[in-house]
Amino acid sequence: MKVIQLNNDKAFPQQIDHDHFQGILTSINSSKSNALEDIEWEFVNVKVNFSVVESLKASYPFLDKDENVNPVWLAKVLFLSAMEGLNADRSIRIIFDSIVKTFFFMVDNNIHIIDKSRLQEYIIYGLMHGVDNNGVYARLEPISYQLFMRGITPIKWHFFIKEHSLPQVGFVGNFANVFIKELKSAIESLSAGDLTYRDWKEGGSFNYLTLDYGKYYVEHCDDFFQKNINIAIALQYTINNAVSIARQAGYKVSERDVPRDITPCINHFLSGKQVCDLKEVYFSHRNQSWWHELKKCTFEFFQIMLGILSIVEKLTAEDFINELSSLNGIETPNDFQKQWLEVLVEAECDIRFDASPTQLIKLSKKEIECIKEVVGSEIDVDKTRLLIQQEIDNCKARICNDTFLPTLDFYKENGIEEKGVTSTIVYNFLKSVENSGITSFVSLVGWRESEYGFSLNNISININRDLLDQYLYPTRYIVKWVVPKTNGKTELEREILRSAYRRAVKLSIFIGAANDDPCLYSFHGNKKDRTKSNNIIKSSIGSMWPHFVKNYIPFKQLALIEERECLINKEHRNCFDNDKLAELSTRYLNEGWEILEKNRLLTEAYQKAITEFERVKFFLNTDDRRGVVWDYKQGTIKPEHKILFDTYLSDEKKQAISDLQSKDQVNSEFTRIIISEIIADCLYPTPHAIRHMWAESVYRRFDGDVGWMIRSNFKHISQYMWLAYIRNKENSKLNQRVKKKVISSLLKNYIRKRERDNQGNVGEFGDDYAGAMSKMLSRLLRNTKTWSIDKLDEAIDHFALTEIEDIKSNPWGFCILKKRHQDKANCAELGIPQRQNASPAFCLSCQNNLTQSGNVDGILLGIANDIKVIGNPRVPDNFRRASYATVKNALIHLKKLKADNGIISTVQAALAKANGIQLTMQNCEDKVDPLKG
Amino acid sequence: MNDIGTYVYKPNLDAANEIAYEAKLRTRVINALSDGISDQNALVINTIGRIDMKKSVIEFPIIDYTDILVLDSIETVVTMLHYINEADRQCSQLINNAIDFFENTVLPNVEWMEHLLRNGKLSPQVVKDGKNEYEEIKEHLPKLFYNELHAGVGI
Repeated sequence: MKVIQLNNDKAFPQQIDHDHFQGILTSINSSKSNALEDIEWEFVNVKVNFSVVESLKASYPFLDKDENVNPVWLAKVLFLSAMEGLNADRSIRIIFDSIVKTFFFMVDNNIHIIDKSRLQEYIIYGLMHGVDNNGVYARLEPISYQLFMRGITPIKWHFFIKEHSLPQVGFVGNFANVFIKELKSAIESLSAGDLTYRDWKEGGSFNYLTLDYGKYYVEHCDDFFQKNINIAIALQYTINNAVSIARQAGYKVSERDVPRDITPCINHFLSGKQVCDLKEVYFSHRNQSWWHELKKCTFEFFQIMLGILSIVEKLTAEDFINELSSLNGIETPNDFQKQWLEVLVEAECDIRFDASPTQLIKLSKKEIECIKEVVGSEIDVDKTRLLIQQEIDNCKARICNDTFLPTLDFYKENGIEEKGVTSTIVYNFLKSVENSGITSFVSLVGWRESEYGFSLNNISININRDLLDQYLYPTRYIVKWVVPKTNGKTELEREILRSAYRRAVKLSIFIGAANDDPCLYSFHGNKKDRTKSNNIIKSSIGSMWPHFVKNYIPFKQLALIEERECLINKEHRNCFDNDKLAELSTRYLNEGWEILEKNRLLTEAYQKAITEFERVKFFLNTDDRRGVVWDYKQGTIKPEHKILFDTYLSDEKKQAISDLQSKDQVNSEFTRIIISEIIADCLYPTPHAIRHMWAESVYRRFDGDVGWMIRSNFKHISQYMWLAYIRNKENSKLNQRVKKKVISSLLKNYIRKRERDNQGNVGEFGDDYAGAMSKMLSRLLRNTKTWSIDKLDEAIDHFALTEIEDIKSNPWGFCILKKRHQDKANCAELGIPQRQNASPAFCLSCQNNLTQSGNVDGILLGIANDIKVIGNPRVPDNFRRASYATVKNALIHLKKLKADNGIISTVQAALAKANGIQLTMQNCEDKVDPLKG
Repeated sequence: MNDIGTYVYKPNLDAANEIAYEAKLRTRVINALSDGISDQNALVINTIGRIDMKKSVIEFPIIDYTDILVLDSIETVVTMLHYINEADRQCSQLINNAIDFFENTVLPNVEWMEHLLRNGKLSPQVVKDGKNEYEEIKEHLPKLFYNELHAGVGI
């Protein structure tokens, strides 16, 4: 068969069945009559313009056996072939885009034919690119399965070429056998092995909770955990000790034969309810006074327990730490000395806590040993321990029963609700504390969900032998446990932060874990499976999300700000409204709500969380959505779920549900597809999302926007830990993706920070930033003031992808390496940046440098040595000259970042002193006289 | 074992030697007197003993921009000796915490400096005087590599 030539520019090639294709074109819903020869076809809601393909002719001639092929005609024929029988706007767009992308891929690679060797490359290109009026653009996230497969796939392309005898351009081979295999491999590769083809097909997304959104969740969980863990332990131990409490109340009971009504009643009292609130049935065997006695004993037990647990807080308070410092002859302890003393206090408290498992006592003793060995010369550990022990005894003796008792209001204030008989308020509170603790731990280590089944026996503590940070952190905490995904059953040693260790200790005490039980979570199933952490971690990570949306304090305050706005704008306020407005206005001033209101990241997170709340809640509660699809079909679905189905399901899916004949047709696959459509585009926490956030946190640990919890915990993450992470090949792909995300987040935050004067007028972008990169971004954005934030975000994503090569996070600022002019980087040698040489001397005056107020400490630490050098006349001139330049550059940054005036004047004074030395140093110049050699 | 499996550590001596070899080829030692440089103040020596071409005003015949110029001076010797001693003192920390910097910068620099100091590239008298000078002032010289050791993450 003769191949049809498509080289005519004007008329539709005669060899092609004109009427057939015109018929297809006419059958697509259009607002005007489109002709095959038109360069643009206009349909009802969408236009396709082939000039984007035409533009390629100039840069690359498509040839088929030396015959010129007009790509526009080829694109049109392929488009119409694929559109036969289709009509939807979405199909038009998807098919057209896939054709354009294929042509662009060929031009980018200077090829006419895409063979098997390039298939995967092509698939990745197709997944990671979008199409606009100017051609293709790179996307940060791949397109969905639906979009990709509805486009013109290599198999379809090949089929159409054969069917219509079209020129041999594009896919000329039959890829039916390899296409899906290559697609699977492409998805694995793009997601760094974390998203399977199956998950992606079922709507799984690469769209993870980012640090800018997820940090609020992590902070909320950590706050909730820290605030309530002691209360939770006391409650748990009180419930566990029902027998001894009953005995104390005068009831003769054996360990094995606890009457059924005792534990629920203790639970009842601990939830803040009264004896009179007990059901009638409880009074049939025992009289009211006995229950009062039980209540009294319950409270006594609880208060003593809480009193003991609270000792550590009293002893780590400033007063006692200062007392310990004085004992060691330290007048004003620095942060590190305070930290050592705190470690000693916490370890001693754990040793003397009766319920501590033996392994915890061993670990605590080891901690004390490490402190003694490393900083024993500064602190008399034995003497200090003695004082701590005495104080613990004193505190124990002073424990009284007029302290905190849980009330219904307490639970309510903490956002805990009772849900029926099976989930009591106390149980819900305990579960929330456990889940928030788990989330907090996971966010500090960033492991996969299968890696958390370790016990206290798997933790070891060693002396930090690295001289670099030994003084700051005398101890190292190692978990030796399996990493099933990469290393099967082999146990690997991984270092964790001390803050993570402390959370693990608290959780282990809370759940009463024995030495070899998993120490992070309680377990009620088959004991053999207790170390398989996958499902427990997965459900724990998401379970606090509804609590977060409803109870995160800044969110609550933003809701009140909205309420205040409504009241202000209300035309006719009654006296109740006026009172409320006055109250809210007072709080607005006193609680600094203005700052919250201006925090764009926070307000966006709030809006997103509120908008998606019902959908995410529905998704996370697996029990609640059992059988929901059939219920929808039957009309018996809960009203709140019906709204979600009605609003978020496409007509196609609604029809599919309506066509169901029996309940058996609703298999898990079908349900999954329906649910994934409802949840599409929502962000919610998963262990994997937190894994991404962990790596992002390490990069952004000096970033002022990441929040206190991240900054304080990750700022001191050791290079050793990071190198261990990065050297693992498994993590390198994830790291590449995270880097892109970090660059994009940093730049997006840049545009959200704008100067405001006293009148509230908005000024330049990038308030709170400094460095040459800041200047460049500011120039770039200066002419775009009329853009919306969404548009700017898109532009930033595009800029990040096309202009930025890489990122490095240093204490003194980010190195955001641009793709162009790399030879201009200060560290470049023979045109190539040598970023391993990063130091304030190079970076602070470099074009790639971006600093933020979070870097002030890092800059100061980085120039501390230089300040000493410029002040010492004995130091040779070349060292002083280099240091002088560094300090001068640092001063510019410090001023721009609005560092403390005291800091600025100290640096200025050092420079002034150095200038003085310079004048008197002429004699020393003899030493470097090149003429003398 | 995991470490060995995923990242076989070994200071990459071959790569370091290669970088140093290239630096040696690019190096030109100049003697201010014999090379006729008159304006002594215009020469700025950086902290690894090279003439800082960006900050120096130098009229020297046939300089290629890839040349590394080293002034045959006491200051150069002092700077190099200090660098070598600091590298030696902190090598284990550098290996543990800044392996890239150690392999790609410190090792090649040390190799290059040793070559200049030992192979008669710098004049023996200057080297001798430089050593004496170094012994005299070494306690005042700044500690090196603090920032490189504390540099951040990125790969």
